[in-house]
Amino acid sequence: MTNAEFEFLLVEDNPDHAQLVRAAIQRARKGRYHVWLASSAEAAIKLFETMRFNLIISDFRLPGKTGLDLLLWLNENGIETPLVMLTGAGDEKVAVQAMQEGAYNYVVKDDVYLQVIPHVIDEALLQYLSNQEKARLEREIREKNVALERANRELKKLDQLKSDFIASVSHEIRTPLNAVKESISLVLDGIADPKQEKGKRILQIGNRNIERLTIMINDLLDFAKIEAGKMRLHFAFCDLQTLIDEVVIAFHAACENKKVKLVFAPPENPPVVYADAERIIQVLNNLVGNAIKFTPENGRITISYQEISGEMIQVTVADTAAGIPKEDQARVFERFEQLENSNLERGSRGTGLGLSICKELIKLHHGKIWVESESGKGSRFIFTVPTTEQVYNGISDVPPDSIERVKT
Amino acid sequence: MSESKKKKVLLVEDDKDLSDVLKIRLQKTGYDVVVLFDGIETVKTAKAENPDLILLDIFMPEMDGFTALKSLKAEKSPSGKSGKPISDIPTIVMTGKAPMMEEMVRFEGACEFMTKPVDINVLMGRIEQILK
Repeated sequence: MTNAEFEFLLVEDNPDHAQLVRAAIQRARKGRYHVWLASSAEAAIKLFETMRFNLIISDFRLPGKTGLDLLLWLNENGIETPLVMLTGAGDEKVAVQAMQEGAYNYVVKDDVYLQVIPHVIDEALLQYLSNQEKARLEREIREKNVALERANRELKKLDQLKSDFIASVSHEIRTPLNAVKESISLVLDGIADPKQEKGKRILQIGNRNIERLTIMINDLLDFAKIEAGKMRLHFAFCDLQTLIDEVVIAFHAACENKKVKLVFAPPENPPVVYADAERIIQVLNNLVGNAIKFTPENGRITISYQEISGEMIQVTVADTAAGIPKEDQARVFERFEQLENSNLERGSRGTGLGLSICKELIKLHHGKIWVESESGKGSRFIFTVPTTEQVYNGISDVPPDSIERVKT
Repeated sequence: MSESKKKKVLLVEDDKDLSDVLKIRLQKTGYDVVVLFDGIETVKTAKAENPDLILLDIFMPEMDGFTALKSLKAEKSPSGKSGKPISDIPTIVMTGKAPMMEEMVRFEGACEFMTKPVDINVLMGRIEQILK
């Protein structure tokens, strides 16, 4: 190819005419147009094996195949290169046929046709390019429409999930509230005597349900903060083992009640993490709480950690529950999602936001959280958390104002 | 009230704590109480137990109360050995707030709708009125 902006192919069997036409075109638009020559339609077709042109100017009368045959061949092969037909005087019929077959224009070889050709070509080229551009824009609009429709469908789905979520949260909050209210009423109405064992049990029900409500309300507030992009973390160096110890102690009673074992074997050199201690405890509480909920009697929950690089540490909460099917593993971290689980103890359903909050909290720590599980073989919830400040200084999608450094 | 004349309430509530406290209240007021933790067995239990009234929670895990309500109201066979049709047993629905919930529940044949947390005096008053 040449340096010219546009490459044309001229199909003309008369070499004198060919030179004249070529000169007329190239002279008219200095350097912008370059004209290749073919002496027959067959030769032109041969050239198309290896080359493409911006425009073809073809004589109608040619030794073998005619210019019209060439046009038909282009159409059959789906080649969209525009073609301008040159016809002799009295060949108007041919010209009409060529236009019907999709030629961009025709030029009658009269006394002034050499002056006319450059203008016809300019116009044909312009028309072709604008057609191309129009087709491209139409294609783009179609693609954008498809994308818009897809986005719309997803939004509708999310909207439905949100409505279901609101209805379900309303119910999940009102039920324990009802239990609190009624346990107090039983005492106030003198039906339950708090000085006796039975009455004490009623007050315990009230207490337990206030705790359930507290967890749910905290989840909802955290969720609202995250959705508004207002979750702030308070980073400091802290001893990971102390955090885990706190969680283990907090769940001691719950584990005894459910007859499950919570195991944590601290390694020799307890690592230090650079994190928001309260939030890491919250994540651990969530994971361990879930594990206790789903693990059957005599089951076992294990907390462990391991350094995976100089900068990150990996914490694992493993259980011996039923496990999570592969297809649901990503979904458990999505907001509003709560897996149907008939094994779940009555009254232990929550807002369904817990794991999505964990995911966001770990993301703000530049860590990752995921689950490894096989049906019947329990689940391992794993997250990573930084051991150094450096991790936070790298490129990240966490807005800098969400990180508040605490001097240590 | 002699034992045989005690009215029987079927309480369908999936939350253990709430059903515990409601059961105590109902018993203390003088009713026999049968508790069910999910909706699936509601029709079967209603047939066997011949309750005078059903207290139903909407949003239960296995079969939601709404479906349970529909099947109750579609059941024309008698409760107990010679009771009236299951569909005639008065049913009170308790639930959270949701758009159109009360309208839907009443349309399906519930005689009373109450939003949790229910006012226990209002609930007991309605039960007494219905069972009179």
